[in-house]
Amino acid sequence: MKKIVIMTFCLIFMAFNVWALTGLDIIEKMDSVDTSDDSKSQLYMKIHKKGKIRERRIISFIKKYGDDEKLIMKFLSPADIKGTMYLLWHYAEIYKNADIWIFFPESNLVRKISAAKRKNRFMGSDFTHEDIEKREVDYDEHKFIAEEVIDNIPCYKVESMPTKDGDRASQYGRWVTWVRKDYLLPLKIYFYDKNLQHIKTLECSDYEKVQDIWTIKKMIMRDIGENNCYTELIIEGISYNLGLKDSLFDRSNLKR
Amino acid sequence: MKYVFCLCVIFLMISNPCKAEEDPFALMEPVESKNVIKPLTQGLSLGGYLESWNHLGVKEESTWQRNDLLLRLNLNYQQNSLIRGFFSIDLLEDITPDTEINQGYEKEETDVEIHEAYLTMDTNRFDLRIGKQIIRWGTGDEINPTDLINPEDIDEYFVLDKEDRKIGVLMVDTLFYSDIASLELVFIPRYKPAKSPTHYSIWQDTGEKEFIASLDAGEIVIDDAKKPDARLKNSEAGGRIFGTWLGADFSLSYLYVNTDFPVYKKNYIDMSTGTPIVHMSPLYYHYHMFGTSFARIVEYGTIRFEYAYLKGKKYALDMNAPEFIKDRDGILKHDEWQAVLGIDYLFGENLYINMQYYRTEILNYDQSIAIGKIDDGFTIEINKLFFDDDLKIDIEAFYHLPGKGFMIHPYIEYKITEGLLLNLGYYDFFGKKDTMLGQFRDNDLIVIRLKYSF
Repeated sequence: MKKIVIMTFCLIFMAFNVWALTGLDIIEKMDSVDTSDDSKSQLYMKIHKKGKIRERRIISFIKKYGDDEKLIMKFLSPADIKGTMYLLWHYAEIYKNADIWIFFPESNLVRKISAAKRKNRFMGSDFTHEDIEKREVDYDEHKFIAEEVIDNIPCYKVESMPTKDGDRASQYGRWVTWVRKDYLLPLKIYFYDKNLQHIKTLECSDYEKVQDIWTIKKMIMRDIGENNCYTELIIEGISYNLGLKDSLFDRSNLKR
Repeated sequence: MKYVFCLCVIFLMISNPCKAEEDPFALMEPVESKNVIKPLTQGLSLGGYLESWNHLGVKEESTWQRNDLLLRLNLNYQQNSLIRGFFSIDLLEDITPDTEINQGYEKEETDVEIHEAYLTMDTNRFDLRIGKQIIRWGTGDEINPTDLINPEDIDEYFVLDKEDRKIGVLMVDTLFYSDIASLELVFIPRYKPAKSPTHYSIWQDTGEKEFIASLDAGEIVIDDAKKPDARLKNSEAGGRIFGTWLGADFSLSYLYVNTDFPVYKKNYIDMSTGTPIVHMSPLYYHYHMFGTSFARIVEYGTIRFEYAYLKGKKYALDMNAPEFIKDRDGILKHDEWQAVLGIDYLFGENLYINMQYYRTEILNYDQSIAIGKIDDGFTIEINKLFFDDDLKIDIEAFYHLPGKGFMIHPYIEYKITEGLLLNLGYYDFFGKKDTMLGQFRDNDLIVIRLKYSF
């Protein structure tokens, strides 16, 4: 009898523990999957626009400094932007401006530029600048909606809304993330505009464990309003914890 | 100065022992795609572009046409993780057709020129780059008072961007990194002057035209038109410290440079024929530049500032001023400052606005100097992107305050396919005939550029 009471108590405790998972808990767990200090990745972007395909190939480095982050990208193709470099120092503080520089190899010129509006397209793709930026968990309110099974994959469904108004906080009014229970990574995200109209869908696939870190190796961003328009972002190669030097993220490293 | 430069470089190289590293931007995985430029052989890759320029004069009293074709080949070479090479060559062909409106135009000969050619040694603490190269300093947009290293070809000053006007020079460029700031030292052993518009160019300014007319009329005689030779005493050197602190980019720079254009000094006035004939010689001279620059992000905009104090500049006296007769060589030495202050801002969806004010002022100005004390003006650029950034509609304008003249340059740029870019623009000049911009008011033109990158 005693055992039954204890087992029942344990089961209730475990069940409560699950039910007690909040939206914030899930998003925090998702945010902490990438435990790396730095990374190097080779990205392949395929932009599908009304039957035409445009390709971009990028080498990208990220280094974390606490909650702040530095990123440097070099475009390898197409030919007209080959060698162009993009350096970004991102600060966790929501209203602190990021420092951004662009290097134009043709004119050997480094320019400090202002951040593009978050809703502007990144390199003509269906991703916006906000979509590729790091987003702090506490920028938004997160609400656990339900558990759902999508294509036989059990997921947590979480709704997120920016805590502050205005484009500076987010271009989106709301987004819903289906977080895979097994890898604690997103399976898909529905993005809604400020009028709460569904405008874009992000689909993730090709999960792979790289150096003990579960990594999404393919993402597709679909524009709901436009037929046959979507962008594939494929990670062709990625390495974590390379011990990248600070000098790699220095402005003086923007050169041919 | 040169010895100080050499000592600095040697000291910094010794204190920063070199250590070769792998190229961090090397591909991680081999790729199979038609859009990725394949290396010719191991460590060697080729790229570049083919560009056609069509200029069409549109004023009724001045219709003309000039067509040029430029093939630029860029060769990158990576010997190992330490040594890299860059070689860029231009093949320029004048393809102006022999039509009625081009009567009397002398075609330029096919020109093959090395645009840049240098070797780079990259280490973890410093870079050393030796060869013919073009570098850019400053934070201003197209107007850079501190950017005095490379001379410019000003034959088509208003219709070419700065990157197309710059001439490569033989240079030793060293860059030292530290966590606080970076230090760049440059040494240019052989002086190279700027290129002025040729005598038949429509872009020759009034002052030059008058000078050439006086030469043709025999009122002026040039005794010795020799340019500075390649001796070390004509070399140039300098450096800058730059970094980012409290969210702002700063730099402090110094250069000991030669003037890009000569001033003409008076040797003597020959009165033997009864009519005064002024004998002159071009004077190339060194002066010092002390500069600073600043750039900072403010919301969706950037504030930029650049300032240069030019010590030891020389100015020719006005030949009509009484002081010109009395003065020994018709040259006055004064200091000058130049500055540019600008802001650019991104409004709404991809609407970009860039405004700048620039000013040049000669200190302790003397009324007998042939040019004005102050030269200033405004530049403005507005552009917007459409069709997933494939189309850019842009308007550039320049208002010159002393002459109250202005230039406007609207253009569209359209990405036809990946790598193929069409630029269609129009230049319109306004102002009185004797002003800096008004003198070109008969040169209004349409420019069509087609560029294919590979």
